[in-house]
Order: sequence, then C-alpha cells, then structure tokens
Amino acid sequence: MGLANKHQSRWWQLGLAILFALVALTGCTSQQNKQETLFTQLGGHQGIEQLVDGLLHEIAADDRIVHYFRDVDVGLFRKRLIEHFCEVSDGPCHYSGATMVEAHKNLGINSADFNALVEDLMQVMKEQRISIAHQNRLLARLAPMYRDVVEQ
Amino acid sequence: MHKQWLLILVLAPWFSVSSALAGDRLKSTGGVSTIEGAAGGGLVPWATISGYSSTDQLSVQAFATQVVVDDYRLRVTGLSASYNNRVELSFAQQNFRLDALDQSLEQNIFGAKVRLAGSLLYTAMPQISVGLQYKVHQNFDLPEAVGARSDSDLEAYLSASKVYFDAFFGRNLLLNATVRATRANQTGLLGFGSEDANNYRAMLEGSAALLVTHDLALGVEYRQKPDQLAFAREDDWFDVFAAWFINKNVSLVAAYADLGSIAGQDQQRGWYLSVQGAY
Repeated sequence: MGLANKHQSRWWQLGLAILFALVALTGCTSQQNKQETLFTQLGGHQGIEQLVDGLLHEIAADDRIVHYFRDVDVGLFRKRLIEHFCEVSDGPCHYSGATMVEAHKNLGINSADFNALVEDLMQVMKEQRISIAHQNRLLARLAPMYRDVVEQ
Repeated sequence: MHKQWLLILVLAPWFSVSSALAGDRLKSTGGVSTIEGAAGGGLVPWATISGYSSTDQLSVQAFATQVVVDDYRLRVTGLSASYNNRVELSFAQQNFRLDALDQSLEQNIFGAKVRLAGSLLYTAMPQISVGLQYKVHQNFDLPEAVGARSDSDLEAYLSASKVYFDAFFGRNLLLNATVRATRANQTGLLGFGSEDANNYRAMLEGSAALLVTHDLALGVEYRQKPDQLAFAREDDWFDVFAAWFINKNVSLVAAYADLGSIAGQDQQRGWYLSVQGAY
C-alpha cells in the first residue's frame, strides 16, 4: 500500500483538513439557520400557500399519482397541506389532520409514487425560485415521512 | 476514432432528445458508472442502484469513460440494467494502453449488485448494498510475466451510501463507504494475486460528494489497493470530480485522478472523462 510514501500522505493531510473544515462549517451554518425559521425563509403563510397551490397543480398534471387524489376533497386537502408544511417548517400553525400513517393507510403507495411527489415538489420549488438551501431544508424535514407513507 | 466513442456519438443525441424517463427515482440518485461498470462514483462503487428504476421499473444505462494519465490510458465502455431499485447487473470492457510498451491490456468485468437495506434519501439508515464483480483478463502474457498468479477472479464488496439533506451551506452531501475483498493487482489490469499472495484482502474505499445544485455534484474519492507484485509498487487511488446530471437521460463526469505508481511509472496523474446515458 502506498500510504507510507510522502506523496500520498500529503493527500491524506489535505483530505483530513477538508473534512474538519466541512464539519466546522456545517456547525456554523446550522447555528445561523436557527435565527430564522424555515417558515419565514419560505415566505411565511403567503409563501407556503403559493407553494401548496403550485404543488396541487403539479399533482393534477401528473398521471403517475393523480389517481390517488380522485376522491379527495381538494379544498380540505389544501388546508391540511398548508397547515402541515407550516408546522413542519416551524411556523405558527397546528396541523389538525390525520397522522401520516393514518392518512396513507391502505392506499398502496409505493416508492415510485413517493419519488414522483418529491419530484413534483422539487419542480414547483424550482419554478417558484425558492433557493436551493431552503428547498433542501424542507426536503430534509419531509424525507423521513417516507417510512409512514410508503407501504413497506 | 475508437469504436466506443462512435457508439456514444450515435447514442448521445438520441438520449438527449428522448423525453422518455429512465424511471421515477430522483435525478442524480443513480450516481454514475464506475470504471468497473457498477453504479457509484468514478473509481468507487456505491450502494446506489444504477439508473432511475423505482418500484417495478426497469432502467438501462450505457457509458464510456477515458482516463489519460502520464504513461497510460484507460478506456472503458459498458452497460448496466437495474430493476426496482433493487438489483443491478453490469458489464464493462476495459482497454488499458501502456504507452512505453506500445501494448494494450484488456479486461472484462461482469457485475451484480443487490440493495439489502435502507434508502439513499429517505431513511436514517444508509442504503446498504452488496456486490460481486467477476473480472476476466483477455491477454494475460504481460501480467503473468510480472508475477500475477491468475487471469480472472471474483471480488465482493459491501457499500453504504447516504445523502444528508441540508448538510453544508444548505447543500446535500453524499457520503459513501465501501469495503472490498480483492486479490487484484491494479484493479485486475495486472492480473490477480502473486507468487507470494493468494489471499483476499479487505480494502477500504470512500467517496464524498456535495450536490451544489440538483444537477451538479462535486466530490472526492479514495480507493485503497493492495500491493502484491514484487516488480513494482502499487499505490492507492484518489480523484476529485465534477458530475453534471444534465437530465435523467444524460450525465457527464470530469475528474482529476491520481493513480500513483503503476508498473514502475510513478505519479500517474491525469484527466478522467465519462459520459453516460440512461433509459
């Protein structure tokens, strides 16, 4: 193995330095982010309503998953989704709907469906010019819901 | 022009105009094609399954890669198919040119990978996959002359990969760790084992990639390698790379690779370029 030779030990030192810098900076950015809620970053109530409306339009045009919403009361679904996104992003809301597990029980939602919805959300966020950092912060909070939504 | 580049020239426009999706997984989550054909980075296989196949979907990929360092040039073409984000089968043909000897070595690699657990994006547990690679050398005279024991071998690897959302300046970070059981000399380009060494050894490989945008990943890779042949030293490999996921059908990779010492020629560094199409 070449670890002993000088040329490669320099690479190691460089790699370690970058790793430490990454960890340190990650700590710093998460400190900064605490000052402002994701809710505010997404544009408050107005921003989240706009995001949800965009998502509903995207879903309506998405043949892969639109059938799941055929019997859904769109007005109520919109209200609950706004509450949910608001609460998830630390906004001043209380989600009053069913739990994620209850709401998706027996629908037979699979990974492809979940991916399709995430893709639609990413498309809307892109169209609405939400910054990549804010997109990723929202995705970070929604991603763990996979476990509750998708039938294992 | 080499036939593989002609193939790519023919395929590339078709991939880029085709609106057909390669599957429902999110862009970039298939990774790219390694020099050995498995999905991953450039040098290191990841736990990701190639292409974008999700539930009950099939996805196929083709790729061509060229690595040009000071005294050698590696060309790879290959194919892979994946199903259900669960299973991946791959084939890669490597042509390794030694400028000094005006000679080429060829190796074929048949690969299979299965996702065992976890999800790259959605679970706290990393995505974990196990893979096998059967490598067959096509012209063994030179490797045999420098002391290689065998012209073919089976390797196994275990990979764990995970995307951490919002990890660094709001960007998503992919981390991968792979452990490989191998007897290969220079990944098999110089055969397998030696007169003194015929046991599998566990080698560690790692990658880190930052998704600067949803289309562009910048990363580093490290691949530990055994050093079994007496005639020349073998070094671990490194690279820094940029991967551009133009859409789900086409991606490009450019990297700068440090392949260390190969067959007595030290400090082999140079460019790595790769293009992949998925359907």
